[in-house]
Amino acid sequence: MLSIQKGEDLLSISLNNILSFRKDEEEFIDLVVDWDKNIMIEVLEFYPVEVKFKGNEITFKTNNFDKKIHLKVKMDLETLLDIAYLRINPILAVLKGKLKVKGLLKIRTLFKFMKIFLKSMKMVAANPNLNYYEQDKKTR
Amino acid sequence: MTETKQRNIFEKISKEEVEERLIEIFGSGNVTKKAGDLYPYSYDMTECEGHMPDFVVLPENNSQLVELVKFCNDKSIPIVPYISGNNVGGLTIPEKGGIIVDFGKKMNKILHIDENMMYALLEPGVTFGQLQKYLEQNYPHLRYSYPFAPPYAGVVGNAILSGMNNMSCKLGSMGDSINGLEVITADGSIARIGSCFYGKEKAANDSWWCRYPMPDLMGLFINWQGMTGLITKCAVQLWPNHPFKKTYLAVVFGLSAIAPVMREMGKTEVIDDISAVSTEVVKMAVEIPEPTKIEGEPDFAALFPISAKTENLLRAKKEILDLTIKHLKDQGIKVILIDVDEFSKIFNLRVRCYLDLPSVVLTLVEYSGLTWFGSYAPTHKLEELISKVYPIFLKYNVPPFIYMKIMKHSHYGIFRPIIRYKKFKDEETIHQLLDEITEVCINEGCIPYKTPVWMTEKMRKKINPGWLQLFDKIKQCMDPNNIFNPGRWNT
Repeated sequence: MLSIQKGEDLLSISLNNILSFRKDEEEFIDLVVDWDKNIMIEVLEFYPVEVKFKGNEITFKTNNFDKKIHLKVKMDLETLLDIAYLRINPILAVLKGKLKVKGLLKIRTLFKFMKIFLKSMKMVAANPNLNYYEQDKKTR
Repeated sequence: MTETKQRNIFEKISKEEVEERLIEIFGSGNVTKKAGDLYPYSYDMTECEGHMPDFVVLPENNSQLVELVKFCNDKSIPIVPYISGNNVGGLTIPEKGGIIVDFGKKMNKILHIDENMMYALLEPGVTFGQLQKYLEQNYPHLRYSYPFAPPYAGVVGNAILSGMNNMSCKLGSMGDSINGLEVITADGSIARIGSCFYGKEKAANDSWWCRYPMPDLMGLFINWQGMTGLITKCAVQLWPNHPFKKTYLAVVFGLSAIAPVMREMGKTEVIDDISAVSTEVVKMAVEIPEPTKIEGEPDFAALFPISAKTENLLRAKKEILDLTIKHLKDQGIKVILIDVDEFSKIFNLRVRCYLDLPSVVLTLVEYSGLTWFGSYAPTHKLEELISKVYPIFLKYNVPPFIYMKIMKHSHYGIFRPIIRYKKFKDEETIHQLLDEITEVCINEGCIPYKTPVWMTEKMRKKINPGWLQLFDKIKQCMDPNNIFNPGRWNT
């Protein structure tokens, strides 16, 4: 059973929303459980959030960050939405300097992050449902 | 707060005789004096003191109401109109007891939709949800506008109390969009006001198209909180339901930076509505129990719905929004404009409760108490209002829920601090908080609407004496025996 912290700041609320979308999917659980990595996501104009993968838990921090950060990504809100809605490829975004990644050489971590986070974000964006009262996929 | 004094309303006639007469008029199935039936009409979610009515009646037609008004006027018995009791101002609490006239149950018909002149003729009990569904099913090319209120709230009540809706940036107060009224005055006569005034007995359904150019007698009833007569029909304007719609969201950093963003966007004349909420309100919608703002988060979010007949026109409107945002950024304001459909999916779909109106924001009403300082505000004072009111919330350790609107392309605005609270437990503290906010806002020139009695008492101390004399004279003239919603506005 995967546990994802319910965030209380705007970015953690979004991250919870994105990561919860696949929380019952076996492939996603396999990717996430025991990954034990700390990823820093910063949306420009906002603030950095550390996403901590540990055991079967995903938690979020907006201060008192861990000393060991395995990957740092930085982008603005427009780029985040452009990637989610397939208007820009993440690699092109990196090349254009719109998506900044610190830890590019840690290829495995980077690819896993892309599989966990970017794929989930694209799936959330592609979901045609816009009714908040139909959020639960099982009862929709 | 004002203390209400019980007046003996059964001086001229016994309660039993009143009941007999009410049953004669409405039939026994439409009259009740049972405490269990009366209780829900005795209070609302606000801090306003509750008071039991003596009777509740369910009218079905005008002739019953004419009989009722004549009888009550003769015997000096209070009449309080009621639709769904969903207001936030104690407006239908029977301050002096008497008879609640519940329009919501049986006088709730959509009488006519005029496609050519685009209006709806309504009985007082019609709700927003009902009108929306009816238009969608039968007249999808027409739309009304809907408030940040539940679908079971009444259309007519909102219009005659100058509520605002999701086209208010274009239209202003909903009171301005009333074409005509039918009212029963204290002597029991029925008056039709507006272009429907021709015809001795009845008005043709297609005659409710305008309120001008005769003397505007509607002012005798609009915003009077039911103190001058009973409104039995109301014609409200409808508008073309454009096929192309889009809503944009501006995320604004800096506590009072939202004010110029709202003003400038309002002046573009391309936006249907502008509503802004503090970040704490956004978080409340996604079920954060006692939301606080952390460092680095934006302070406000504002919604800008636009609509157009063609896709090109919609694009042109978006271009104007982008230019305005660029201009604001050039002035040093930190603002990001994004597509709200895209953002809400990524953030949390629950924020769409602010878009898909009318709607129930469950988290707003999850406590037993809900109150506000809802006011019309001078837009040039929004900065001061925000910077003075926000810290008051923090002083009382209450999440600062601030909701604002720009009306009629920035001619005026709405400033509305909202407080949800636990009745009985936090009531005293919340009274103090609201009292403090009220003082500040009235001093800055805000004019409360749908106003509770304790607030009108404060306003009376600041209003010019000539206005008060005229107001009291009109009330006296329209309702010499003070039967219509007595106690409101401290009458």
